Amino acid sequence: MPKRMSEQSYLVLLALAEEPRHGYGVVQAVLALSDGDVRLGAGTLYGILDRLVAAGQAEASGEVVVDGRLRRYYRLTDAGHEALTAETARLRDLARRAQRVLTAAPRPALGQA
Amino acid sequence: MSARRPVPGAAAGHDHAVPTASPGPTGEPLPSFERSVGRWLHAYPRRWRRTRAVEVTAVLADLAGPTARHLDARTALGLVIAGLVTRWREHPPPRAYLTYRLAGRHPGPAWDGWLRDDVDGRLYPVRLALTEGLVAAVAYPSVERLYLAAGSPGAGTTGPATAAGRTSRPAPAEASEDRA
Repeated sequence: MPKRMSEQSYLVLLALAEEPRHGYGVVQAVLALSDGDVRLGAGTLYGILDRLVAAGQAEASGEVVVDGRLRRYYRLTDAGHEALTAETARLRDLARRAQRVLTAAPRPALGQA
Repeated sequence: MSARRPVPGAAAGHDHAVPTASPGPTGEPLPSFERSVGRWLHAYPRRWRRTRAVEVTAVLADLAGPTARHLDARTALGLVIAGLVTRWREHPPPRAYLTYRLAGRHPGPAWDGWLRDDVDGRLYPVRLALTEGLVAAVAYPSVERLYLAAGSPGAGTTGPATAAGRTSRPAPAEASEDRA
């Protein structure tokens, strides 16, 4: 089994699943998807993108020059889409099991500050 | 590096605290900013810079805002760490590296890009001199001792012969030029 997917990689894959994005777009999308929690720096972002491209889960999908600035777009591959759905299912099952544990456990006495 | 909290406003009142879906600020970044980015990007390997520097500079300019004059310390640190990690990932393993450095054996097609950067690098003559010097310092006295013990008159010719055997360097495959 390959290394467990990190939360940041998962969010990047999710951002690319919505639509092909360029680097800055991925950062903004990850910020929105994590509800303001995860702000990727450029170094971290490119480390993740390089790893995803090397693993065949993402690929460069075209370049556009906008206002003198080069934007290279990235998109999800089929393998990336599969990995994303698998990881989402894993997280969903985990959350379900956790919810079962929390509702079944005897609650601590209320009123203890 | 990523922060677990929204970052307060960057240079000159540009507010990044609110997540926005709009594209980054438009317009050219300041030349001093681009120079600053270029300096920090040296943490990445040369071949990586050649293909990605323009794109990364654009993203950094978007993140920093139109008035940033140089890269801030936190982003720079993140870049350096990521660059060193990239260098580490694309470096051949210890045995392949040693057989290449000391015996001139090609480390393998997977490391073609690294090999090309090594041979084309500015410090390549220094690396060569160091390894030649190391090999000579270790091997020459031992070989000389053997020859002297055997009573051979040709002890002085082993030095140039060893150096000549090492001057041919393995050439990386041409295909490595096109690899992203």
